[in-house]
Amino acid sequence: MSERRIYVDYIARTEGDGAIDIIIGPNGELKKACWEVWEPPRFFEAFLVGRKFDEVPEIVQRICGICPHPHNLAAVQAVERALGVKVSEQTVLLRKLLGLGDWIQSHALHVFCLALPDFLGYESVIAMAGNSELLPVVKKALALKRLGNDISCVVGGREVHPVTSVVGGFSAVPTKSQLQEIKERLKANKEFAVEAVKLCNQVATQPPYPDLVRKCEHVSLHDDNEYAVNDGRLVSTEGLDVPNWEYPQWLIERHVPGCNCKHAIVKGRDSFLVGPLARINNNFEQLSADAKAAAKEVGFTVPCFNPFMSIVARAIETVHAIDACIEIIDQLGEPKYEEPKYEVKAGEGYAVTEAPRGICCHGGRIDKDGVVQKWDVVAPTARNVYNLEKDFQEFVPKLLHLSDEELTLKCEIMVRNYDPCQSCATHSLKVRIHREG
Amino acid sequence: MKPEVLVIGCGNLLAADDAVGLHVARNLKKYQLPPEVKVIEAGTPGLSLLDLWEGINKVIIVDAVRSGAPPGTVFSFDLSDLLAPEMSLSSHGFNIVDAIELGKALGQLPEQLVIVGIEILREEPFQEGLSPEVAAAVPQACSRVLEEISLMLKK
Repeated sequence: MSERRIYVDYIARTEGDGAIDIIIGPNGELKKACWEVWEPPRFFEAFLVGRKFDEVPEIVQRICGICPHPHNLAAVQAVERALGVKVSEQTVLLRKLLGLGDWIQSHALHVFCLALPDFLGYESVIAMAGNSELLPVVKKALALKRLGNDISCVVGGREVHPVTSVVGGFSAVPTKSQLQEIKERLKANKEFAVEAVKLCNQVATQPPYPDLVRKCEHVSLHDDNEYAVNDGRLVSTEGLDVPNWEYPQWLIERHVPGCNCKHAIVKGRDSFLVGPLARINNNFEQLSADAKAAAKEVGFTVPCFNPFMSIVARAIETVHAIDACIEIIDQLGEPKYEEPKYEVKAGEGYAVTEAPRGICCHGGRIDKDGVVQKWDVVAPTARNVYNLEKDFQEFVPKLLHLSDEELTLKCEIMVRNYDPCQSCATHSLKVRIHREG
Repeated sequence: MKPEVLVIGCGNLLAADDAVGLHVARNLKKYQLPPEVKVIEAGTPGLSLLDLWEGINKVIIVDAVRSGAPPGTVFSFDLSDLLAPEMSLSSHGFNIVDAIELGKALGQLPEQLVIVGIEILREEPFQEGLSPEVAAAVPQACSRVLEEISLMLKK
């Protein structure tokens, strides 16, 4: 009797490099279930030391080409906390619009181009588009993604790394007509977003997924008055409820051998999950009416501890994001340029935003001349690495009857539930399943 | 106004020879091109290719390729002889071949699409500048693009 080993050294459709390594003993016992992130470390925290405070948001957004906005916005707000800057209501609204636009483009990409082909058994979105029934879905998904990118163009000044979002506010603001054009497109895309919730629920509730439930702590921002995007308290399904700037005290990281990404736990407890499923579990009441209705229609209820339902959570959040963007555009009316204002002084500040993949944490210390003394960056994927490994440990033993090929695919789906971005996290991907016997 | 012919230079300036498509695009701007021709440096556009050529019927993509030919060799392909996947180099997410394949599935391809490829020697990250053999091929690649432009304008 020999071991059975499943090893996938590069997983397609994630960002960055990592590997899955699973070894199953002769009696079906799980001997190893690891997610090894070997995307090389990028040392952002080290080279931010000595830079000026206003360079930080611009530099850190380069961590990611898919979610630059949450990095930018967390860093901007952390610097503002350090300098004691208060921003206008208009700035708060524009920042929310920028963050929600990022959710729309990232969720559209992940749900339709990365995750859905998995569940439907296509090699890629290109193969999926070859099915004439799914072709219109792909077309509409790309239009939705385009809309998310265009929100970034209008508010952030360009498609990917924003240029207008700075310490103290915005260096330029969109015109009313630009915002109205976005609003019309949001309205036009909404029906598809609602339909997508049904499609996602249909694929994620096929066997064996409904049986793959693992209760763990879900951590997100929370605001009583709205579905939290850029601010709010840091809460969890296990009762964590603290100001978000206290994250360094509550979310602890430790180094582990064989992995370029640290493992994260909640202080005094265990691994945790961040991202759309955590957000929806902690903030269901704050979803828009239509997002709640879409959830109800497919029978989605909270709390939900099935990570395979993340695709449904993303689809529900997309409906919410469309509604929230429309509401913000109405509130903004005709934005007026306001000069970003601040005074440079020594200080320390931390802030958390909700990136599409979960909480994005930034903060550090600035000296009296505005020079960074210390900076901390923790991207959402880094929070999830340890939790994903625990998913393997829980779920692989339930899937041992599958062939190596099918088991490998299921492991890849488990990874993509998290929409991971290892480039951000390294701080991924290869599956190796090895069965003894 | 949409141009009649769009030339899209692709590549990453920080990945050594991978940048050659951008160098060609920059060089082309030194020529006096007809007003109905537009040249853009697209970087690594991925899926955005579909947006870049929306509404345009004649498109030339200039990009680095790797086929085993001597570095500096200039190729041109059209869709009929497209394109071993390994001949594309874009590092992030969707590469150009993926975008073309998806464009095909979606019925969003330009009527005429030519790819001018330049065989490269190295694509190390965080390296600026072209290898001498590849840099020497830039004028030839520009001539090839100009030929393709005049063919397209005649059609």
